[in-house]
Amino acid sequence: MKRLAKTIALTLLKIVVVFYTIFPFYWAIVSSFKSGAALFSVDFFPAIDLTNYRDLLSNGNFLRNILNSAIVAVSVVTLSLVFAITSAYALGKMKFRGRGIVLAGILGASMFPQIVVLSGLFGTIRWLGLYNSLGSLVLSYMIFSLPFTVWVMTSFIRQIPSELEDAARMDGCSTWAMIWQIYFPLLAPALASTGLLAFIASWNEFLFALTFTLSDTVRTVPVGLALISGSSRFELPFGTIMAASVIVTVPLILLVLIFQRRIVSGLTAGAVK
Amino acid sequence: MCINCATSQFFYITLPLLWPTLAVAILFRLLDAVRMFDLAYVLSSKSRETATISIYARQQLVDFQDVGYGSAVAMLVFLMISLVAAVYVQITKIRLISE
Repeated sequence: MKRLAKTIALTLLKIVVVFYTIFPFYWAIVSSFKSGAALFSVDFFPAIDLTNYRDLLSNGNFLRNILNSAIVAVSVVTLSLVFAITSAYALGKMKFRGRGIVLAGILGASMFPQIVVLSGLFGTIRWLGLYNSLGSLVLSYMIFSLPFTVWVMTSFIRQIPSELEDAARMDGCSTWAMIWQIYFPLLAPALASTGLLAFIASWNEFLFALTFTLSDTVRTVPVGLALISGSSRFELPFGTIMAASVIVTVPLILLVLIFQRRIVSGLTAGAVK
Repeated sequence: MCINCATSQFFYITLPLLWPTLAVAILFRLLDAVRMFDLAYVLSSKSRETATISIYARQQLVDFQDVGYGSAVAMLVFLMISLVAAVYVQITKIRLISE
């Protein structure tokens, strides 16, 4: 009897948690099939009407925004991972004075609120002539993605036994070849999970994208989505916004499902997240 | 011996073992929450009642073009956050960097 009560309570708790996390997304999908006044009626299983999706996918600006987001996120992830592997090797496997200070600095930088660097970064980007271009976003996203990837990769590389390195040294392996031929393949699962988390962070980033871009053609998807407006200023086209949110979320869900197992091991291996 | 084994197990074994990781996670989530920007900005735009410190600073910086004042706000946020982080690390005695 007691056991039954326990099972029921536990199941109820699970249902509450799942409902709390899934329902907003479900409601976004449901709302994306509606338009006009129908949006404000409560209807849990509306007829599937893909008008909003058709409008969005024939809208050049929206597709352009998705492409921009993809370009920026892929560049940020690639650059971060290359720098992260090399610096993780230095920080995790080499002994040098001030290593603790460098690590503390990296950790401190990953706690930095974005708003603190905004004004300085704005000046820098203007000076570099990158304002209103995708380069400004790649540059600024590296600020938060690099400390995170370096930190996680450092804790991963420490778990790899140094005997491998000693053996490779005996065979005359150079440091550069060591990084790419010994550590890179061993770190591949860690790279996948860290890269994915960095990808999600860049894909979702809003503050920098809002501040450093101005025209429709260089906007990323979160900003483009926030600025979707209706035919009059008193109408918010929720149906379109919801459809856009669903389209933007689907790639992330697919990526997470593909790499699921690796993300979980990645999350527990780094002490940070 | 043990009246409620599962509860004791959780509080005397699981939680202490989990604590170092949990403490770091709490610190990071806390700092993330302080600098929250996008949700409040998108959901209620510039309503003063829901503006977080990040929204306020950006408004001064970008919308009002008051770079000096906006940067001062940003620096205050930075001081606030470093103070919270420093005190937190001292209190919880977490070791962030293992040599």
